[in-house]
Amino acid sequence: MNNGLKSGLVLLMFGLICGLLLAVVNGLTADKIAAEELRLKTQAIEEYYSPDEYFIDIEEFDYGKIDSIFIIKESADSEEILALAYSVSSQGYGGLINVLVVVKNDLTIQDYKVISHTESGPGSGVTDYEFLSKDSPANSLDDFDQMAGATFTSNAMRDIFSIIAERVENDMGGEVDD
Amino acid sequence: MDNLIALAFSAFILQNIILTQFLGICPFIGVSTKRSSALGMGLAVIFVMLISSTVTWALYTYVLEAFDIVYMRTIAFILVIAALVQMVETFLKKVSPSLYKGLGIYLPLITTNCAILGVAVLNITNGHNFVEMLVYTGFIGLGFLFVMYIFSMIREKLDFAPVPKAFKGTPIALIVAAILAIIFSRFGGLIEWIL
Amino acid sequence: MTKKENFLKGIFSENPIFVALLGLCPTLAVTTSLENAIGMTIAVIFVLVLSNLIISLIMHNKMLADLVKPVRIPVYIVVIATLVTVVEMIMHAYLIELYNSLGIFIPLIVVNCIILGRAEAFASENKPIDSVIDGIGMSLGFGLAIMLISIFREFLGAGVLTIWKSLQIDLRFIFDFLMIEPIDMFIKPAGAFISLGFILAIIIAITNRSKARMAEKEKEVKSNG
Repeated sequence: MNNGLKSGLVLLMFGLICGLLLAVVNGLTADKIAAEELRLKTQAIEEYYSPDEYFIDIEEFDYGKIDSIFIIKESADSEEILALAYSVSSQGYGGLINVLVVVKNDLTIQDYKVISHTESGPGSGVTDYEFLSKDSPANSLDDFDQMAGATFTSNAMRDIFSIIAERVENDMGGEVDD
Repeated sequence: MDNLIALAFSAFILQNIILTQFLGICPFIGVSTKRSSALGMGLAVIFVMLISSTVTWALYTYVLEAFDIVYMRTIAFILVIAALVQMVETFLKKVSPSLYKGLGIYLPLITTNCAILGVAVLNITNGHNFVEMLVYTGFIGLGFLFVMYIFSMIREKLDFAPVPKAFKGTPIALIVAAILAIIFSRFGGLIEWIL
Repeated sequence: MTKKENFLKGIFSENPIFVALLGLCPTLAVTTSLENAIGMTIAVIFVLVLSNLIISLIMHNKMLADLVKPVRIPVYIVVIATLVTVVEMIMHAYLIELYNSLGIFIPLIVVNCIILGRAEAFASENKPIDSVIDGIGMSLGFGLAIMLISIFREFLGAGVLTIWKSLQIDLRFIFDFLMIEPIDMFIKPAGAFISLGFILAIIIAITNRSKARMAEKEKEVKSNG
């Protein structure tokens, strides 16, 4: 038999065995991984709405800047949405900035929190700076306050709030989807 | 567009692959003793990085994700990179012997260069689309070349500097790298201020 | 070489980080806290010991070895990548916080020169049992080295030592006593380079001194004899 072909077959065999093994391990761990990811996500929102008291539904997004939207209701069968929490990322100066924004059902911002960022220099104050004051409307950017000297960081934050502003009214009406 | 500019800057300077992400440290310490070799290595890395990131990005998006076998990511990526490096080497040898002479010796070192696999994986975990992937990879590569070249110029001078015996060689190179890292993290603020 | 020497060479005389300068990328990147270093060590022990064992078993089977020889490097890479993915999935499922803080450096164990280097230089030519001992020694040598660096960095940079999750040793009173703040540069990238540079220099100085002392002793013995 041709040597190159033989080597190729050997390599293919190894690849297949390893692929099978990985498929098995994946089958064993996939559920646990999904559960853990969910636990980490709900941890971020626990500060505002604990899963023991409220019913929290999570809509996840594979593409785009929105990572996930939490839909918070009184209980599983209630129609009315109490609040929505958006986990959104945008490109800042030093890397991705991930923010959690909680919006009450009267369309005002209850609170927002910078979950992770890698900004440095003037943008490093991103966690403390108040870009939008609490209780300001979530569907307009009129009150948005630019952070002096940190253009890219501010642009990223503006981007995040504008994504939410665009869709929050629709979402609050109960039509949360990609 | 604004987003792409920010991405390019952060890839080039602030998230510099060597000085803040610590990828490709082996060639950074090993191949940066001369300017010419730093330049050769840097160019070879940009070249391979662009090809391999494009291929792995397409492979991930259209094959691994489509068939729901994302757990094969690491195996698939490293095999693709190894095969690509092999192919680039034979191709260069045939088509452009002069280019092969310049870059050829660095190519085998690149398969186990963690910068290549690292950037391929980062493009996936950061969720870049095709254009973002190209911009990010290109500027990460340029950042690698830039830092390698600066560092090699410093090291050429460092050979003549009176350094304590225990610090000779790698230790003093690492300390110089630390100073470069500090400069780069502040440099970013300057550019933002100008813009 | 006895089994004990085989085990100890990975930790001292052939330490992958301090002597051979291999695997510097994870060394610099994950040493921001002791916990990260411990997590990385566990992952590397798992991958290196098993890859050494599997590769040595393959290369000791005459028939398999003949088949594999021409494509041995890709086969090694496939074996190592599989083991790394298994570690990655297990960590993701059971230690998700650690998984997130180690991030990209778990899949990058594949291209860690230590692992492929040991496969090619040791496991392919030695008995399975010796390869396992070599794997344990080498990965412990790597682990102890990154733990040493991370202790240095986390103590100077944050004033605490995180051993596992909430198990922390608070040493900030030392900084309070000196009336200074912890130097947070040591947690930042620049601190990684400085720490490794100084620790390397100290180790080189110590080995130089002990070498000089040995040479002196030999001279004395000669002149006396």
